[in-house]
Amino acid sequence: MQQLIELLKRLFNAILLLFGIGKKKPGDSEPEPPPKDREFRELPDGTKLSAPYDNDEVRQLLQAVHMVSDNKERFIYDTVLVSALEGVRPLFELYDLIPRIWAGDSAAESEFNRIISDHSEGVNVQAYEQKADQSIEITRGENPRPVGSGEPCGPLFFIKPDRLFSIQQTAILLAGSHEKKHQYNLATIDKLWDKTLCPDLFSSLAYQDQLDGGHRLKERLRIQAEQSEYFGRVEELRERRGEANGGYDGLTQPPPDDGGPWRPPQSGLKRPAIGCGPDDGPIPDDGPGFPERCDPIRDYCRDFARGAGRGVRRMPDSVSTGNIDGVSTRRACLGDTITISGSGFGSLQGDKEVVFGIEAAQVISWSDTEIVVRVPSGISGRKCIGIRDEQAEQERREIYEGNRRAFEEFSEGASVCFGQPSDVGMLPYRPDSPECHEVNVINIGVPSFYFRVNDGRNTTVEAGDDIILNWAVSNADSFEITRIGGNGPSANITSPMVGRKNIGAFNASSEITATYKLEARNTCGVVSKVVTVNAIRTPNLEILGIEVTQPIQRYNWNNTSQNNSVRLVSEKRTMVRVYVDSGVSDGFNFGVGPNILPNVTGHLTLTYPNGNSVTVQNILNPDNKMDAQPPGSVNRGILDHSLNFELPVPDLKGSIRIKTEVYTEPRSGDGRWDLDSTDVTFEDNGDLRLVAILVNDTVNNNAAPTMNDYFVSLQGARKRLPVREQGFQVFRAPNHQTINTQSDEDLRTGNGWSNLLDRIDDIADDYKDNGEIWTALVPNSPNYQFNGLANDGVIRFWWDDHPRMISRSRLGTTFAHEIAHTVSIDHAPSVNAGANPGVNTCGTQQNVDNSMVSLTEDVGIDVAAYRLMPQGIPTLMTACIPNISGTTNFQDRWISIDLWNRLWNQI
Amino acid sequence: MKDYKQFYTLIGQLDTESEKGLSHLPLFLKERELNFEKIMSTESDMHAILLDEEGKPFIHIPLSYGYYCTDPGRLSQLAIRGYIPYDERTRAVRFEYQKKVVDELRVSKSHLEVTITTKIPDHIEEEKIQLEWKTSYEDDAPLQYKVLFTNNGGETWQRLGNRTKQQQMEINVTELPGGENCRFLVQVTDGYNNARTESRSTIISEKPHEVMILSPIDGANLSSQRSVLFSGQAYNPNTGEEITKGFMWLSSIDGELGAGPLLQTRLSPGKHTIKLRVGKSENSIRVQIE
Repeated sequence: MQQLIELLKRLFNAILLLFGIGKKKPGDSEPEPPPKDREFRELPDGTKLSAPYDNDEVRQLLQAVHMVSDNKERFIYDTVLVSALEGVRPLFELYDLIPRIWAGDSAAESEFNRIISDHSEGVNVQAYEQKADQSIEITRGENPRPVGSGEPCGPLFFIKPDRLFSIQQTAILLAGSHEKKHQYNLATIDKLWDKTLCPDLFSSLAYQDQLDGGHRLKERLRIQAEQSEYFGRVEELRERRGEANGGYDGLTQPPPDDGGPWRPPQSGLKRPAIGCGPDDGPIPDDGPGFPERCDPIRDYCRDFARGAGRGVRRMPDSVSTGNIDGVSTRRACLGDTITISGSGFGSLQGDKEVVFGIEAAQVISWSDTEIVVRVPSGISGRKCIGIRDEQAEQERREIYEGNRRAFEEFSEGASVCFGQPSDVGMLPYRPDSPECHEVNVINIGVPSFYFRVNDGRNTTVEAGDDIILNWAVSNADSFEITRIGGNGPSANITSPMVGRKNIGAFNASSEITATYKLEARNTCGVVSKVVTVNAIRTPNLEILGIEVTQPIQRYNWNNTSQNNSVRLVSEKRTMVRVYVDSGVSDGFNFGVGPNILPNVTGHLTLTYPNGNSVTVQNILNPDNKMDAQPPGSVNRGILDHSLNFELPVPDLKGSIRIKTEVYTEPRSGDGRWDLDSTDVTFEDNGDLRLVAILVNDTVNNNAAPTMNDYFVSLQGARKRLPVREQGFQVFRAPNHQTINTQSDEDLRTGNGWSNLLDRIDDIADDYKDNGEIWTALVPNSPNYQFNGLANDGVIRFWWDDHPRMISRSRLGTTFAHEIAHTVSIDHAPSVNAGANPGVNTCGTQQNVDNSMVSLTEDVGIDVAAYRLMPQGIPTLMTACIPNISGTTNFQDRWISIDLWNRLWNQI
Repeated sequence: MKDYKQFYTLIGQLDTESEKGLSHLPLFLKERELNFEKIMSTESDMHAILLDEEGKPFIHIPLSYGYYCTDPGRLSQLAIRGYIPYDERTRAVRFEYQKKVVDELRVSKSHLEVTITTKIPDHIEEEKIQLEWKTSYEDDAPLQYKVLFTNNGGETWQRLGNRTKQQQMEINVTELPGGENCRFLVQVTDGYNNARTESRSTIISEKPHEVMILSPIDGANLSSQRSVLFSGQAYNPNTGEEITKGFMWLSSIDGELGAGPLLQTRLSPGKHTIKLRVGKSENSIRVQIE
């Protein structure tokens, strides 16, 4: 501990000596800094750092927020989260620059200094130093440490103290011998750290919730949201999507394609004030907060971190530039020899070295006024030349070692904050680097340049928006910017070296890419780079309606009065059709035709009467997606004009809320998602008990169908009639499982069919009557007189006890038709085929009920076969052959709403 | 009105486009609880009229009739149904349609009797048995027989085979429900007069549960992208009772799929043998998932 005190004393003396001396900021004439890199970078000691926001802290917090919120809430809560994170963005950005600074990147140093400078306004250095001096005692362990460790209290710090130490050390390094800058840097960082209160709180609440399954985070977010201008305006804001960048300010916006730092989308809508409270005010006290037992630890750790920064001793400069008057060239290639002129270099090199940045150069000759060196390999771009005093450099190393040992002692205190003794983040040693002046700057190697289109390397713009090129070329004799290919406005730019130019609108009617190339050259070589910009159209995807259908349903999104009014049977195959408006109307082509948005998918959330919810992703469309049409083109008569889901049959009972979410992947794209819900009720209806008889036609030598044939036939009734899937209960009659036709039962004649049906009645009369329908399946011979025959329930046979029917095998529609007869449904009247495009031909029949509807009133669905049955085709009980898209098949007759309701009452 | 307990079931046809008149199955007698008063009060232009010894009608019974429902097409025969009460005074049954006589059945005075001649063992273990009987009848009217069976001591009966003119019937015991108190009954009719006889009681082994897979269909080709609806049923053939518990679905590729008569799940691509197990009984199908 004595050693630390000694170090602090030496630090104080150094501050007094060096007060007022600072390093020069980069000149305005320098090219723009290279773009920040979002890739993970490594410090020399292997410590991994990440770019702003693309890190586990944000990811975990985001995940926690999304876990506790539905989509509507998520919209609000993300905005609260954005506000909280915006407050700590500078710390993320500073931290992200550290690896580059340690690698000798002078542009990164400039950016680091700029960020601190931008946030230093209003910083009270005196107040900070008073706090920091008190904190040093805590850091040194002179005050009692709180009992326990930070681990049980969870992530009390959204930005961990070790990261803060890294930022502090870097700020101290860059301040060099400049005392005032040193003070302002640390005070500014301390101020920025205060902004972490809100994310600290969020992540702490998420941690507590994770431990005990609570909902503190959601409650806190709700309170935050209520005090923002977003609250209560979600619907309004969502309706305004498209007017202002989708109206969505959430964190789930995709990052820019160019890999640049993430920015909240510019929606034009004000986000909640930065900070935990409204208008950056104090944290509201009416919501969940930090656990009380953790408060002392939190206070301690904040003091500890503040004191640790304060305790780092500044290191003296070891590189001087004051004696340099100039260099022989402003530009050199690797390996070139250059001459540095000046005075007072000394006649001998001695302990001095010439450095380009932090890289030492090979000295070829040395005199008091001139030094000849070879440009070191492995460097490029703008470098500043200086003369390093090895003795001073050695002193810096010793001070660094002292700082490092002090940090090791800090680590004991850090155990309270981290749960175990740890390395709290002492950065590796970095040699001093020269200040940059007009006279010591040299450009090394091939040209370097910065080139962007609409602020990115690979960006997207709305079709019709302007394309803006932004470039800065240095160390070049000449350059040119040209367009590659024919997309986008043309460009032919050769000057100035630094510029920004709007080259015109990117007019596009489809998703195309414009490519621009910058090529720069000097005597060391030629370099080039291309940037691309994609023209897109942000749609306004919107759910037009949700239809819940079994074999037939009413739906019209323009006239909603009868929507979903056809009753639904419990436990029956059911399809949900979600009609979606692409939200594109200007003819933009996403590759599948004008105004059509491809690859729309989604999911359902079903909430059952007991409150349980399940997610359904059983999409029936090919490849689980659809092409969304503009509303005028959405055709209910085309199956894939809706996103179609099959519901889980066993759970379809009672009232169910169906929440629908549709989107293109990724789900969060602007204007590319929507949600809606509808409530439907699945009602119980009666079952039908069927006795299955297979008929072996010995008269015509046609073999009996099998039970598999029977189930194929039964499927025709299962898919059409208002009976649950399990509601057709099949039994076999002992000793009459298979019967032979008798001589008077020639099925090529009507009389033969009648006789067979009479015999079935006679057999049934000798069984106990449990309300069964006797169903006989005959071979499927085209020579037979009929497809099917049945008695007409109780309407005409008023004391006929045995409903019975015969159907040719595998004619499901006939099977369903005859079943309907057995529950007293008559034939529907014939229609004029010529006047109805859905009808091919019509025959006449007996037992016609003229009150029955003959053509389907609306669109039907064969859910099992995933087939649409058009409106206006003959119903099941007619003798008409449908005409469906040019194909004609008697077995394509479908159920009408009229018949559905009649059967519902009869079964 | 007389309180009738036994009725004949009339199953007949009337061809409206020819002069064939009424044809009907020979009448078998059966005890029934009918609301005969309601039948008698129903309006109809087709009747069965019972005549006494002197040829006098003493009761007019309305009959129901109508065309069977064809898909598609038309029929020329009207289907006739009715319940004709047994009355010992009856010597003839006349049928009238729209006040025209379409058939008349004369009742024989000859005594009719039937006896089972086959010796029924205590326990029938064979897959088939030949049931034989003999008849005592003095008239020359053709006789028709039917055989009924009970596995619960006569609580419920069920028909075996078709009506026959033979005095024997081969019975497939494997299709019969089992029980401790099984009996056969032979009933004979000369068109109106009936006689019946029952066999001694015997034991027939109980049959396993009947298990059926309604969907998917055997041999179906299905998509792996879509869930498959498994629908199965089972019943006890000895009692007719529906089984609702103990269902287990199995796949030769995916193993145990789930329980319950109705199940919806996805299958892996390949050729599956799907088995539905209910208690000790099972059934299976094959499906191809692509």
